[in-house]
Amino acid sequence: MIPILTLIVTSGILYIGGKPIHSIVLADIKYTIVKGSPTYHYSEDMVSQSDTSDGNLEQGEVKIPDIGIQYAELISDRFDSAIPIYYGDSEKELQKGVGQYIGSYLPGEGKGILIGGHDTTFFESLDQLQANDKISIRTSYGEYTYQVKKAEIHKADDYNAYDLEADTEQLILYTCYPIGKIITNRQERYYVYCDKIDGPTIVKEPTND
Amino acid sequence: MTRDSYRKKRYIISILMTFILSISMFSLFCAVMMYFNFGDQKVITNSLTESKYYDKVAKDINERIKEIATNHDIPEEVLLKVISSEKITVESVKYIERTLQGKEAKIHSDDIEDAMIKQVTLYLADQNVTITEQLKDSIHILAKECKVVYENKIELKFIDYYKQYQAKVFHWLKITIPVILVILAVCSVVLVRMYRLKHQGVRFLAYSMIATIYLSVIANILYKPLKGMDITPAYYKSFIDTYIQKCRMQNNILIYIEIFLLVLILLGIKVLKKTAK
Repeated sequence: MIPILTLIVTSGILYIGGKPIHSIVLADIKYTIVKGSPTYHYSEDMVSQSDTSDGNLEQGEVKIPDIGIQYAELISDRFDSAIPIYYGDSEKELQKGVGQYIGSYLPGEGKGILIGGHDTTFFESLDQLQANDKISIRTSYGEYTYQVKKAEIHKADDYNAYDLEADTEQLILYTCYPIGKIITNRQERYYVYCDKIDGPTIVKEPTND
Repeated sequence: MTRDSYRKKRYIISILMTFILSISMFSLFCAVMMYFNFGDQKVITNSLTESKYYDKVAKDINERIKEIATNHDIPEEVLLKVISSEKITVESVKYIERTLQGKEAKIHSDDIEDAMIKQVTLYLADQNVTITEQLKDSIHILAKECKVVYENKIELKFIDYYKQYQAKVFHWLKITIPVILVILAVCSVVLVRMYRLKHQGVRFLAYSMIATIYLSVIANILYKPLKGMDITPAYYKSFIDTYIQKCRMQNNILIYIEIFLLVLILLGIKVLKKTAK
C-alpha cells in the first residue's frame, strides 16, 4: 500500500509541477541541437549570384521555396546568432527555426511578410527589439534590411493585427505572449512591425493582354 | 498522548519523510545524470568517432566542392588539391578538440580562399586563358563559395553550446548535490530513529528507492523524443543520435546502481528483522 501510494503521489506531483518545465527544457535542448548544426548558420544558396546592381530583380529570377525548406536567415544584434527562416510555419519548421506564413509574401515583393517563432527558443529575445533597430533577412537572391517601427500585443485570433496586402513592404515578426512564461495556453501574441529600408525589388513580369 | 495517536502521528511523519526522500533521491539521480551527460567529454569524442563524423564531413565538403567546380566549369581536381579529405579531417579534429578544451579554435578558411584563388588562376594560366576583370570576379566568387562551405561545415557550434551547458551544470551541481545529500541524511536518520524496531524504519527507505527507480526509468524514456529529431545534415544527426544513445546507456547504469542499492536495503531489512528477534 505505502509503496504504491508513494509512487502515485510522487509521480503526480512531479507530473503536475514538472510537465511545463519538462516541455521548456526539452524545447531548449532541441533548440540547442538544431542551432548547433553545421548548416544552421548557413544555407548553401545564401551566396547571392543575382545581379542586383540596379536594385531590381526579375520575378523569374526568384524561385518560391518549397514548404519546409530554409530559404533565408534573420539577423539582428538583439539575437544571439542568425536565425534560419523556413518557408511554412507548421510545428516541423518551428522546431528548426522560424517559419514564414506561406500566405504572406517574399522579401522584395513589396507587401507583408509574416514570420512566427516559438518564444522559448528562436524568438526568446523578440521583446528586446526596440524602435529603430535594424533587422536583416539574407536570402539567396539578395539581402534585405528592415527598421523596427513598433511592437504591439494582440489577441491570437485578431486578424486585424496585420495587413499582408498593404502596398508597402512590411516585415512582421510574432511570437506567443507573455514571452518565456510557463503557461501552456496563451491567448495573446507579441508583434514587431518593421519597414523595409534596403534590398532589391522583385519586378513583376508584364502580362500579355 | 495515547499510544494509538502516537502511532498515527509517527506513521504520517514516516509517509511525509518517504515522500521527501523519493523526491530527493530522484533529484540526486538527475544531478548525477547531468554530471555524466555533460561532464564527461569522452562521451562527445567517442560519439564523434563512432558515428564517423569526421569522415562524413570530409565527404560532404568534397561533394560540395565538386558541385562548385562543375558550376564554374573547372575540373574538380584543381579545387580538391586545395581542400583534401586529410586536411578537412585534421582541421575538424583540431577545431573540436580545442573547443572542448576551452581554448580558442580558429578555422583557417582565409588561407583556403587565398589558396583557391591562386590555384584556379594558375590552372587558367596553364590553359592560356586571359584573365579579364570579369573572370577575376568569378574566381573570387568561386573561392568565396569554397571558403563558406569549408568554414561552415567544419564549425560545430553544438560543441560551444555543450561547453556553455557544462559550465552552468557544474555551477548548479556544486550547490544542489550537498543540499540533497543533507536532506537524504536527515530524512533517513529521522525515519530509522523513529522506530524501536529498526527494520520498520528502514522499510520506508525501500519504498522511496522503489519510487525513485520508477521515476528514473521514466526520466530515461523522456530522452527518446530527442533521438527522432528531424535535423540535417545526416552525419550531424548520426552524431547526435549516438551521443544521446550513450547518455541513455550511462543513465541505465545509474538505474542498475539504484536497483542494487534497493537489494542492499531489502537485505538490510531482513538482517535487522532477524537480529530484532
